[in-house]
Amino acid sequence: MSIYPGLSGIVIDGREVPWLGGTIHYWRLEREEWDHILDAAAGFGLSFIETYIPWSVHEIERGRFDFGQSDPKKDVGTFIDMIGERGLYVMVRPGPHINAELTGFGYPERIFAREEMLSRSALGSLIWLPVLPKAFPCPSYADNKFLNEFGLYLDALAPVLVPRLYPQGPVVACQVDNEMSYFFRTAIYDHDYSKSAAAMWSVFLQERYGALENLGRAYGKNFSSFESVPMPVRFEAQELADFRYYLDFAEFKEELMVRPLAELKNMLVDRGIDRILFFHNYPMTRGKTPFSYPKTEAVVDVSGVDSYHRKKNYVSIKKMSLSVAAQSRLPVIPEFGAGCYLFWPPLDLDDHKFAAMTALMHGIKGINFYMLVERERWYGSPIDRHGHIRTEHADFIKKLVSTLNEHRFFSMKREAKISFVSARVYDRLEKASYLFSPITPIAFEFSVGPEYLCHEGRFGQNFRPQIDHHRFLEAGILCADRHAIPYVLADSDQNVPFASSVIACPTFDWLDIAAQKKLMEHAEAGGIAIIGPEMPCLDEHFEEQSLFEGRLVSPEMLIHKNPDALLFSVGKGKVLLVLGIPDSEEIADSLWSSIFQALNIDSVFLASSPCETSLFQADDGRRIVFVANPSETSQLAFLKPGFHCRLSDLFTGEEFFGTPDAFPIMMPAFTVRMLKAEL
Amino acid sequence: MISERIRIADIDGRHWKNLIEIFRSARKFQMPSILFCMMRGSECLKAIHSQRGLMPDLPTGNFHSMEELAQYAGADYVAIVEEMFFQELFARSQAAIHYEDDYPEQLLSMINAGAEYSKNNIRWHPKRPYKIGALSLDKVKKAVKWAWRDNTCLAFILTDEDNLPYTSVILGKSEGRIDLFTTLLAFDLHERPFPLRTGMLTLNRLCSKRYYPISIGITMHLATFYEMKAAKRMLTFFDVSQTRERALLWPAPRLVRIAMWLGKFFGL
Repeated sequence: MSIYPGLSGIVIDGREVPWLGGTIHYWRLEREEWDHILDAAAGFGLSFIETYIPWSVHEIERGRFDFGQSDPKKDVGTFIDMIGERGLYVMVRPGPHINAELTGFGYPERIFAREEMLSRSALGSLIWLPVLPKAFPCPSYADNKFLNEFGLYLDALAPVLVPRLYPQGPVVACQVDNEMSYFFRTAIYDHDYSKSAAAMWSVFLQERYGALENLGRAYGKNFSSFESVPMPVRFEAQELADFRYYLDFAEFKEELMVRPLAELKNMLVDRGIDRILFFHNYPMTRGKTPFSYPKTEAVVDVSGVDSYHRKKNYVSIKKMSLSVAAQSRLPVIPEFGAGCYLFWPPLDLDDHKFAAMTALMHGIKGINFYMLVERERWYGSPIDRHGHIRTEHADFIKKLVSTLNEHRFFSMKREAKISFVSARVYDRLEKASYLFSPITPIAFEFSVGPEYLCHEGRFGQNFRPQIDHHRFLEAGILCADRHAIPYVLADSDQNVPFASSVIACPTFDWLDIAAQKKLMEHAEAGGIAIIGPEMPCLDEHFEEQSLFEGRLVSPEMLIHKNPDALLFSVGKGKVLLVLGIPDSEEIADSLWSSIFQALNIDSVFLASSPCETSLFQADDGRRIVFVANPSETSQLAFLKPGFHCRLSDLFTGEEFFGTPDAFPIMMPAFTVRMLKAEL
Repeated sequence: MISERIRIADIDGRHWKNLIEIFRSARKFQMPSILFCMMRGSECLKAIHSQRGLMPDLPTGNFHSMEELAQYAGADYVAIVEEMFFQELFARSQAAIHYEDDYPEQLLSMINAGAEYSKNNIRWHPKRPYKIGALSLDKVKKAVKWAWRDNTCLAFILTDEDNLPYTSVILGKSEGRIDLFTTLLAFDLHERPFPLRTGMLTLNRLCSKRYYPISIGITMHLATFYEMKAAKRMLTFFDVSQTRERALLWPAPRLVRIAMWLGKFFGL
C-alpha cells in the first residue's frame, strides 16, 4: 500500500488519481439528507470528497467530545463511510485552524481565554482577527500548551479516523492545519512576539550559530546568551553588515510557520494517522517569505494554494498559478471558490468559470471545489443544502471534470521557455525592510511593487536589492508576456527542478552561496543562467566568497555592440551576465527582447493582445491550447500557431480553421477557451 | 447587535450581488491630493503622493514648513507619521477589544481607540480634512430595540418591472441580536413573481412558519428605489410611491408609521 504525489495526481497503489474533489461540511447538513446529498455529489465524476473536522464543533468541554453520540450531524465516521460506499476517496482537514466562516475559526472558545497561549504583537498587545460575527484573539502556534490542547482533540479523533484510513477505509489524504499565514497577517513585524515565539527564535539562532561568539561576529555585537537577542520590531539597518540580523529574522518567520506545521504533522502520525498523503494550502499568494513551498513540502507531501478570484483578477490568478506550478511537487488548489462566503467581493458562476480555466491554463494540476455542497454562511454552490442540483453551475463542473479526465489533461506538460527565479535572500530582505507593519503585505502582493512598501536605502551598495530584485525580474516578465513566451515563476530555494533550460535570477554583489551554487550548477549542466545586474562577489555573511568570480572569463557580447549583456561559457552551458537595470520601461523591454532573440527563446502560439495563450503537449503528440481574453470587451484573437492545425473547443464543440500565421478566433469578454489542436 | 450564532443561509448569489450594487454610490468624489510621509526623526523613509505616486529622495529636511513641503510636492494636504505609527495604531486598537462584546461593539472599540491615537499622531497640513469623534452604538441599539421587536424579521425586497425579485434580504432578531440573514431563496420565492402585497403576505406566512413573522417589510420596484435614492425628500417620495403602488411598507408597526410621519413632517 502506498500513497504519494505523482506528476498529475495522487498515486494510490500505483494508480494515479486526478486531484479533483469537492467539499462537503457534514455537521452543517441535516443527517437525514446526507444520503441524497452524497448521491448528488457522486454524480460529478470527482475522485475525492473533502471535509474539515473542526475541533470546536466536536468538543463539548475540555476532554469531552461528540462524534455523533449526541448529535447525529457530528457523526463524521459514518459520513466518511458513506462517501466510501459511493466509491469516492476522502480528504480530511482536522485543523486546528479551520476558518470555514465558523465563529472562532474552529478553535474552542476556551482557548481565547488562555492569554498565555495567544499570539502577541511587537508592542505586546493581543492579535485580533476582526472577522464576522465575532472578533477573536489569535492563538500562538509556537506555544506547546496550545498544541497540547489540540492533542486532546486528536486523541479523541484518532479512533474515529484510523480505522477509516486507506486501505481499510476511504481516507487517503489529510491536510495539516489550514492556510497557515499568521492569520493572513504576514507583515514581518506584526506577530508573533509571544514568549513561546521568542523561545523559538533563540533556538533558531542557536541552531544557526552554535556558539555565541559566532553570533557576535555575525551581528557585530556581543550577547550574553541566545535568549538575550531580541526579535527586531522594525528595520533599523545602517549598513550592509547589519542585514544579517534582519535576514535571519525574515527566515525565522518562515520557520515559525513550518516548525509548528511539522509538530502538528507529528501529532497526527503519533496517533496513527499515517501512511496517507499530507498536504497544506496557502491563502492566495505567490509563496514568497514568510511562505515557502520547499520548506512546507519538507514537512508535508504537497503544498497548494487557495483561489477565490474574480474574473477581473486575471493577473493574480496567473502569477499565483505560475508560482505554485514551478515550485510545488503537485501544484493544486485545495480550496477553489465554488460559490463564495458573504463577506468577500461577490463571486458568480462567470468568475468561477474564468478563474478555473485561467488556473488550469497556467499549470494547476488539481482542483478541489470549495464548496461543492452549500452550507450556512456560504452561497452559490452547485448543490444546495438539501441536495438539489443547480444545473448551470453543476453542468460546468461536470463538463470540466469529464473533459480533464477524457483528455488526460493533467498528464500533459506546459512547456516553459524560461523560469524567472526569485532569489529568496533578496525576497527576505524585501520583507525585512517592509515599512508598513502590521498592515498585511498580502493586500499589496499583486498590485504594488516593493518600491512603495520598503526602505529605499542603498546601504553603501550600487543597488537596492530589496527593491531592485523585483525590478530586474519584472522587466523580463513583462517582455516575456508581450512576446507570448511561456514562463514560470520559480524560487532559488525550490527543490523541484527548474522547468526550463533557461533561467533568469537577479544577483547583486552579495548572494547566498546556496543560490550561487544552484545557478552555477544549472549552467554547468547545460542550461543558461541569466544573472544581473551585478556579479555576486560576497556570500550571505558579506564575506568574499563567489562561485562566479574567476569562473566567468572570456565573455562574448550576446547582443551586437552591447557590453551590458555578457555571455560566459561554464561547463556544458552558459551564464549571461546582464549588467545594470535600465531605468526606462522601453529600454528594459528592448534589452530583454534582444536577449530572448539572441538565445532563441521565442513565442509559442502567439496571440494578438490582449489575448494570451498557453500550450500543453503530451508525449504521444496530443496538444491542448488555452486562449484567454482577460479584457472586458470581446476580442477577435489572431493566433499564430506556427504550424498547420485544426482547433476545436472542448466545451462548445466549435471548430476553427486558419493558417499557421493567422488563426482568427472570436473571444467574448472574460473567457478562456480550451482547444484541442490537431495537426 | 449581532449574534455570534447568526444563521446565514440560503443566500441567493444574484440577490446578494445586486444588494451590494444598489447601495454603491454612483457619485465620484474628487479626492484631494495627499502627500503621505513616513519619518524616522528628520529622515523621510517613504513619501507617496496620492496622485503622482512614489516620491523617492524627497528632500524633506530642506523645507522650513509643511506648507513649503505641500507646495513643492503639489499636494492639497501633507500627512506625516512616525515610523512606528501603524504598529502603535494597531496595538492600541487591538488592546481596546473585548471578547465578550458583540461584533459591532468590538469594531467600534477598535475604531475609536485607533481614531483617538490618530488624532494626535498624524501631523496634517492644512488641518486634517475630517473630524474624529468617538462613535457610540447606544443610540442605534435603542432605536433598533424600539422599532424592531425580538423574534420578528425585517424584509427588504426589490423587484423589476415584471415583479421578479431583483434583490432580497430578510433579517431576524432574537434576544436583542440579529440572528438570521437570508434571502427569498430560503422560501423558494427568489425566481418567482413577487407582487408587492401578495408577495409579502406569502413571505410572511412562510417566514412565520420557518423563522419569525415579519414585523417590517419593504417592497419596491427597482426603478422607484433609484428614484428615491436620488430624491431630496426620501420619505415623502416613498410615501407617494406607495400611493402609486410602486412601493409598499407592510407590515408596519404603529411606531414605525409614526416615525415615518414625523420624518415627513420635518422634511425628510
